[in-house]
Amino acid sequence: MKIKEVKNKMKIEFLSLSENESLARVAVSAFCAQLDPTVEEIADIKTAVSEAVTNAIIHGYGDKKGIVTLCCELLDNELTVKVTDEGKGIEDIKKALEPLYTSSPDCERSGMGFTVMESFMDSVEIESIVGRGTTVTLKKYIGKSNGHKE
Amino acid sequence: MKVQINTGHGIISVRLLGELDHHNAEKIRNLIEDKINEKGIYHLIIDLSQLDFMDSSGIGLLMGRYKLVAPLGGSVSVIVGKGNIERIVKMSGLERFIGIFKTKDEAFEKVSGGKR
Ligand SMILES: Nc1ncnc2c1ncn2[C@@H]1O[C@H](COP(=O)(O)OP(=O)(O)O)[C@@H](O)[C@H]1O
Ligand SMILES: [Mg+2]
Repeated sequence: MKIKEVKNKMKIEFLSLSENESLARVAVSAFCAQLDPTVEEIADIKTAVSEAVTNAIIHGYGDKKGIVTLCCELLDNELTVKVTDEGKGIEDIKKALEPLYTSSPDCERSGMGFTVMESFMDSVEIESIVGRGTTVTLKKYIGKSNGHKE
Repeated sequence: MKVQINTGHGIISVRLLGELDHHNAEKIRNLIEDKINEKGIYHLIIDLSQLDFMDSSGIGLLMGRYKLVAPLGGSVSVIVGKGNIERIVKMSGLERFIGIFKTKDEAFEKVSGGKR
């Protein structure tokens, strides 16, 4: 068995402003560029990161302002992105994961965020404590289309 | 983010360029709503084909416009964009409410044809 090599790490903290949704997308796509991802892989990653960061901003913090933390790691050819907020937390994770479920229909949310993350990434994990905050961990193996495999 | 809005033949057509996320969605929503109020036209064609990025905030925007114009006898049609944008549109089941088209011509033909 081969020991996985940590190729790179990055941690960014930003205020929960909607302007920072694009900042997060750009930062993560630049970070994983060293694995030479395809255009499709970059698009998948950007979309999933955008969903998780938007959730932290609008659902985690809402009208309050707080810090969103983006931790990225490249382990061999696998990208891990953790998006953390210290906001209100998710009461019912199972329900939150249902396609079309949204707690804020009035804000024109579609309830498709987690569904999008799950279909564009290899894995999505949610840890949440009500009143404390939420961490969403997204993973994607880069280079599948080039025939690499673990 | 750039928004081009044209009106004619009883249709408001909205072309979106750049990135459509939660941050930009509100501005776009206001621009469309101002145009609807100004012209009293309730048939919308929204062109996503020139977008470089869209997440599920785009679905919220489209459904929101549908809910606004449908009770007024209007409609929303969409020209789908590249790769993931089309996947997101399909995934969310928008087709039940919104006409999905590959090209501008198809969308215009359907929307103006249906009304005359
Ligand atoms: N970081 C978070 N903090 C608190 N609640 C969250 C968070 N992320 C998601 N949620 C909850 O999960 C629901 C579903 O999220 P999602 O699938 O992205 O849909 P949407 O954002 O359109 O509501 C949200 O409506 C919200 O109630
Ligand atoms: Mg969401």
